[in-house]
Order: sequence, then C-alpha cells, then structure tokens
Amino acid sequence: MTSGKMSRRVFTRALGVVPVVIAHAPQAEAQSRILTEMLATVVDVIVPGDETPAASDLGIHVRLIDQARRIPNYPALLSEGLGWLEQRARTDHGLPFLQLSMDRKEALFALAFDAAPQSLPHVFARRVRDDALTAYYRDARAWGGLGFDQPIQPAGYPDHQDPPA
Amino acid sequence: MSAEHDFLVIGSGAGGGAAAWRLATLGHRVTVIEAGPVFDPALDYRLADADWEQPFPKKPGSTGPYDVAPLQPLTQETADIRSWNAQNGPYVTGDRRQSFGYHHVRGVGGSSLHFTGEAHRMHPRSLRMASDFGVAADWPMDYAALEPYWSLAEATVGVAGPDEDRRCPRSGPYPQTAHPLSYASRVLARGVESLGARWQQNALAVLSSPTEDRPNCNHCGGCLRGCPLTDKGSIDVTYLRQAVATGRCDVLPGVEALQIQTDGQRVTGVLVASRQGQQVLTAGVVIVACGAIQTPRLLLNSADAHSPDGLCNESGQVGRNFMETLLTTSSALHPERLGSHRGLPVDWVSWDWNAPDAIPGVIGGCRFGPAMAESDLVGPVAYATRVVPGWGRAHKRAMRESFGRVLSIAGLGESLPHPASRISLSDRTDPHGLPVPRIHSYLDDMAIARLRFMTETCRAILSAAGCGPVFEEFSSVDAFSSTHVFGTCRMGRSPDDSVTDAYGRSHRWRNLMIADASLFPSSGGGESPGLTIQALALRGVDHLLETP
Ligand SMILES: Cc1cc2nc3c(=O)[nH]c(=O)nc-3n(C[C@H](O)[C@H](O)[C@H](O)COP(=O)(O)OP(=O)(O)OC[C@H]3O[C@@H](n4cnc5c(N)ncnc54)[C@H](O)[C@@H]3O)c2cc1C
Ligand code: SF4
Repeated sequence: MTSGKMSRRVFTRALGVVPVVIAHAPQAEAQSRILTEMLATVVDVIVPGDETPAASDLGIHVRLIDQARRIPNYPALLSEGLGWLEQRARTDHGLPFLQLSMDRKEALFALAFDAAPQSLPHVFARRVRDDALTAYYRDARAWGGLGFDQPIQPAGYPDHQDPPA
Repeated sequence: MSAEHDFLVIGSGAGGGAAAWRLATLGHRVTVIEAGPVFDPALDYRLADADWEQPFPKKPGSTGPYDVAPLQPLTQETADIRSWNAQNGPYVTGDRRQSFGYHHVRGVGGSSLHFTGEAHRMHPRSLRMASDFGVAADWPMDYAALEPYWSLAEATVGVAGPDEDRRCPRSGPYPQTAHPLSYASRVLARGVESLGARWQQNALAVLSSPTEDRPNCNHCGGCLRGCPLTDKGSIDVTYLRQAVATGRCDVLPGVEALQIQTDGQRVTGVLVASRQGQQVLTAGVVIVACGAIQTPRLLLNSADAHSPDGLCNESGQVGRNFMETLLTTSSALHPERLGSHRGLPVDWVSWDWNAPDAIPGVIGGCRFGPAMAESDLVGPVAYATRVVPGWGRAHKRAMRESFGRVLSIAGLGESLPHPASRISLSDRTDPHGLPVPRIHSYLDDMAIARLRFMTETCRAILSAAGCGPVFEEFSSVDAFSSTHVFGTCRMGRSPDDSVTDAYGRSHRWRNLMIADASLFPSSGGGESPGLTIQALALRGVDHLLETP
C-alpha cells in the first residue's frame, strides 16, 4: 500500500494525452537545460527553503531526472507537464514560466494539481509532488524540526516508552 | 539404489526451517533447497542509511511467480468501508476488487525475513470450525496435541510474551519477558479500554534480552524492512543457523524444485533447477514447505502417469480451500505529539473478538492491534506523501506539527474456505516452461460482514483514543493484499477430503510430508500463523521419525 504504486498506475493511464512541446528551444541541449531549470523551480514550489533547505538545494530535481530515466514514459510526462506550465505561463501572463514571480509559479502549479484527475497537468503535478517529497524527505538534511533526526538504526528508540522530547 | 539425500526439504521458510532444525538436532542429515537468495542482515537491511524508509529489499529471484485471476465486482453495499486516502482518493478506482499482491519473500528464511515477529498460538475453539460452526474443516488434532510443539517453537526463536495469557492455556511461561509498550501504543490501548475491551502485550519472536548469539531489540520499528540486528526471530537466524551449526544440515540457496518424482510406490526425488542447470536430487524423504501458494503449484506441476491430477491430489483438494489475510486498517492524527514512529510494530493485541463466535451475527473471529508500522506511517516520507496534504511552506509547517502524531489500528480476521477461492495453474509459464500459480480469491457475505465489523471497530478505537478524523483506510474488502495464506493442501483424518494426515504426510505417498501453512484446515481469528506452521513441522518430523 504505497502512494508510489498508486501514482504509477494513474500515470500510466494518463499517457494518452496530447503532448505539449516546449516552444522556443532550438537545441536539444538548450531544451534540456531549460527543462532542468524549470524542474528545479517546480520542486522549490513544492518544498521551498526555510529553516531547512529548499528541494533544489538538495538536488532533488536532478534526482527526479535520474529516476525518470529508469521508468518508462516518465521523461515524456516530465517534458509534457513542464510544457503545459510553460504554455499556461505564456497564455495567462505573456511570459515564460521561469520569468514569473514565485506567487504566479505557485498559482500555476496549483492549477495543474487541481485539474481533472486523469488529465496531463494533474497527473504530472501529483507525480512530481509525491516524488519530490519522497526524495526530499529521504535526505537527513530535511529532517530538522520534525523531532526525528537520525535513521532508525543503529540507535533505535531507547526512549520509545516516554513522551516525545 | 540408495538416495543421495536422506531428507530433502524444499523451501526454507517457517515450515521448512523448523523441519530441518528438528531433523538436524536429532542427529539426521538434511538438505534444504531454497529457490531464493541469502539475505545478509548487516549488509542488506540498510536501516542506518538516510534513505531507510524503503520496502524490504529486492534481490534477483527474491519473489516467486504468480498471477491473480480477475476478482469479484464491487457493490454499493461496501462503498463506506473501502480503501482510501484523504489526499489520494480511493485506492481502488475500478469496479472490481483489485490485487495488491501476495506479499512474500523468496529467500533463505522465507517470508519470516520481513515479518513483524508476532508469535501466536491458535484459539483452542478455532480448531473445531466444522464441528461447532459448520464451516471450514476441523483440525485433526486438539490444542493439547500442539501445545508442546508451540512451546518448543517459542523457545527456539525466543518469544517474549506476557506473564498471563488470557486466551491460550500454557504449560509454562514465555521464554522471555514481554516488551514494554511504546508511549503511542499506550494511548491507543486506552482507546480499546474505553470501548470496554481488553488488550495484552503481544507475544513476539523478538528478543527482550540478549541470547548467546543475538542481541536484544532496540525498538526501531523497522521489522518489515528486515532486522539488521538479528534480534527478530526470523527463520534464517534461528532454526537454520542452529541446524547448520550441527554440521548435519546443508542449505542450498538458488535451487528451485520444478517437479517431484515417484516410482508409483514412493516419492524418489526432485527435479531441480539452479545456475548449474537442471538435475534430479534423489531423496529418501521429501518435505515440501514452499508456502500455501507455491506448494500446491509444485504438486500440480508434478502430475505424471501415477498421479494424473497432480501429486497427492487423490482427494481433489490440492489448491482448494485457499484462505487469505482479511485485514482492515484505519489511521488518524492524534491532537498531541506522541512520537508514534517509535517502538515495535505490534506491541499489544486485543483478543476480545478472537473466538469464532465473538463477533455478533458472524462466524469467525478477529483481533486488533497497533498498525503504525504495518500501515507504513513511521517515517517522514510517508507523512509527506500520505498524511500531510498540499505542498509549499504550509506543507513544511504541517510536517513539523504532525510528525509522530499518527495512530493507526489494524483488524485481522478469520478467512473461511470458499469454492471460488483456490490456487490453480495459470496459462502463464515461468522461464522453465512450467505454469505459475494462479490465485482465485472471493469474499462471501460473511467475510464482508466480518470486515465491516473490523472497520467499524477500528474507527471506534481511534475515536475513543482521542484522534481526529480518519485520513486513510485500507481493507481487504476491495483489495486482495495477502501476507498470510493458508489451506491449499488441507490436513485431515480422511483421505477422501484432505491431502495429508494429521502430521502433514500425504495419505498416499508416505515419504512425502508437507510442512507449511497450506496444511491449515481453518485460518483462526486473525492469529499470525508462523508459530503454528513451525509447531506443525516439528510435530510432523517427530512422527516421521517414530513411524518411518
Ligand atoms: C509483511 C508480512 C508480515 C508478516 N508478519 C507475520 C508475523 O508477525 N507473524 C507471523 O507468524 N507471520 C507473519 N507473516 C506471515 C508469515 O511470514 C508466513 O505465514 C510464513 O512465513 C509462511 O511460512 P511458510 O513456511 O508457509 O512459507 P514461506 O515463508 O513463504 O516459505 C516458503 C519458502 O519456500 C521457497 N520456495 C517456494 N517454492 C519453491 C520451490 N519450488 N523450490 C525451492 N524453494 C521454494 C520460497 O522461496 C520460500 O522461501 C507476515 C507476512 C508478511 C508478508
Ligand atoms: S524493532 Fe527490534 S526486531 Fe524490529 S527491526 Fe528493529 S531491532 Fe529488529
């Protein structure tokens, strides 16, 4: 019973959607750079920095790209989902996504997340949210303030009978 | 021609490991073949790494092949007790019950490698389901006949249990003192008390004090991911380690039994596959302990001119009477910080509804216990993706406010045989060209009524413990998700309606013994089966040696 499994199934079902290609990226390398930069921004919308680092400070976007390479159709979902954000940014605000204010980036991500359950933007936003949070909280630098500061071994929980400190 | 192997055990889980130990410690030479790999607790269970929050590790060959036949359509009557999560919506979105899998490990130690160590005896009355309630079949022995073997199994794996066990009579105390409850579990236990029910410390194959070769538990809660300390009494670090230490037991990982062979009078050997190719291992006695899915598959795949319907299948019962885990869990946030990620997975249990007639209007019992670990709600990743909604700054704040406040409770219930629940051979074949097992699972009205009672009780316990609204539930009502599987080579008194006698020996092939959960005539009211599988194997071996 893991949400990873659930989102994988939903994701696979959603692949019938029409791809949205990012415009104005003439070279493959440039396109890949823009996608990476956009993904870094999206993961920071999901996990911004405060007392603990932002997601991109921990390289979560790079980890997602690595992970995507090992999962069929995931790279396409990433580029199509980011393409959807880019297109909406240009349609709604007349600017590329990367040039929007943080508030507007957050609002666009929320729009994607709240889209119809099987739609491309929703499947993209849901999947990236879950995977970014998973990768982020698998990193010990994310744990500050949780009352949980080290892996469960080797110390275990000698205090498990007491109220938490 | 004498056989190469006096005793050949197929499968190294609870049944196979216990059988091999009994033989080796009583002075016999025994060979255990195991299809899966070896897991090294120190190297493979990486609970000291930052990314510890992972499922039990997978290795090449560490899961067995199977498929699941289409499951029954879902009806409107169960709409309010299905699996769901407040953020992710329903877990099952189609209109049929959906498979989430037969959870098992193929490896030296079998599924005990990722078990939580619960070590339960059966409720004495649950052994007489046919005589007293007209369902399933009676066990061909009574509680007293199994008692010495349960005690022996408890001593061998090192079970820690309560001073007083209200449910099952005992000939002596548990080998080890029960584990103390975690702080959060005590809060949950108060919920049970508020409903007028009782709880007791769970009997666990987890050391509360060190032994010569194993340390005590440090309550990390990671049992389902594999115990790196070896204080958990999995079969590899208990029975098999001791059996190998006698110098009379060889354990061969990566060796898969494909077919059992006979000469028409006796079982003669086993065709096996390994990296070296295929060969026949001849054996004086073959003990089959592949678990309740793979054992019937192996017997059905061993059909030959002497046994056209499958080996040991004179009664037609091989693969029939499949019983599965009936489970419900409910999870909610408690208003106070409890540190509920700490402690053993299931440190108490409420047996009040465990007797076969304890649930009003339903035959077959159930039990309840904490499930923070079994629901996998003990780490930051689970909180971030399943507990705390949204994203952004608010999500981070909510993470800090919520972590350690989840309480989760599980009910596990009786599963009764049904003609539509069985194991057959699939059209799909494995790399050796042999059909894989196909699981057919069906829930009848009684099972659904039991699941409804379990869900409603879980909700009531959480509410009585002071929790807010439930945010996640998981239920067998719409999800086939089985950790316990039983019944597919039922033991009994008569060759007409059972596969083996009361000692697990085939009625026809007297040098073939079955030693796993496929023997169970009924499942019990939510008891974990491992200890009983071990007890049956130990008793079976003693009988085999007394009556060759
Ligand atoms: C998550 C989880 C938690 C659990 N918690 C508990 C618990 O707390 N307490 C409890 O009592 N039970 C628990 N169980 C159930 C328990 O693990 C099983 O009931 C028990 O291990 C079954 O033992 P077995 O000997 O019947 O089969 P298995 O443990 O499945 O062992 C069978 C072995 O045979 C091998 N095998 C299969 N086919 C072949 C072949 N053809 N050739 C060679 N080898 C073969 C398999 O690889 C496997 O190692 C849990 C199970 C799970 C999944
Ligand atoms: S809780 Fe105890 S038995 Fe379970 S993994 Fe941790 S140390 Fe091992």
